[in-house]
Amino acid sequence: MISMTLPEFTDVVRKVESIPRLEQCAVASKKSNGISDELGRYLDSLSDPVVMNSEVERLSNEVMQLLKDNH
Amino acid sequence: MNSLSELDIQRIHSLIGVFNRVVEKALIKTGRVGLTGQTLKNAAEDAMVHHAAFIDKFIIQKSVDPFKIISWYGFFLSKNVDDPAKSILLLAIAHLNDLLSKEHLQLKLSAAHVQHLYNMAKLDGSDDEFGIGKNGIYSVFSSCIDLVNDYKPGSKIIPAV
Repeated sequence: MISMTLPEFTDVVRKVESIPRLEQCAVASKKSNGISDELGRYLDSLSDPVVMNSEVERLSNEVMQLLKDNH
Repeated sequence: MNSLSELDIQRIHSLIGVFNRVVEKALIKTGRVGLTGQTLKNAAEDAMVHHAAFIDKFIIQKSVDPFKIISWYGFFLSKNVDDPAKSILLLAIAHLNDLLSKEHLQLKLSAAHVQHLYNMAKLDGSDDEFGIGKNGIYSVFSSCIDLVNDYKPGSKIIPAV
């Protein structure tokens, strides 16, 4: 399975965060973009391998059908 | 951008993990797309760089936004691999639609609308008169959430085109 481990991904994030940004600008947004509790709970549930596998299976079946319809 | 917390990183990693495994099941094993571990890391880095720049540009409060992550990760992944049909974009849009249903009690865009978005996303960079890019896809789903959050029973709903 091709994958990216959590430590590898954490390295990516920390590297990006260390890039200095010169430009703080321009368009102020009123949006906070916080996620809902429901979605937060869903994301947290994915750390359980059983839930993760079940979600992958479900979503894969859905997109396989979409791909079949599209190609 | 301030540092993301360990929880934020864990959440983004899980989300991308689901997406990667769906790509693997649906595209790699069927020979539609070739992918390496390095390609995943490159796409993750490109998406996070764009995420940081976007937050800075529009002065958005730092947060984990799954809709941004999948919109941009999917686009960068599709751009960096041999994916002539741009199937990864279709998977990204389907994944975003699924996240929308998690956020709002099974509300989803129709299959026809998913198809329409995919048709426009495929044209990004080659026919910008009709194409939409990574920010356009993100904005579609962000707008859906905004609309549903502000909806109150009795409001007049504008029919979808």
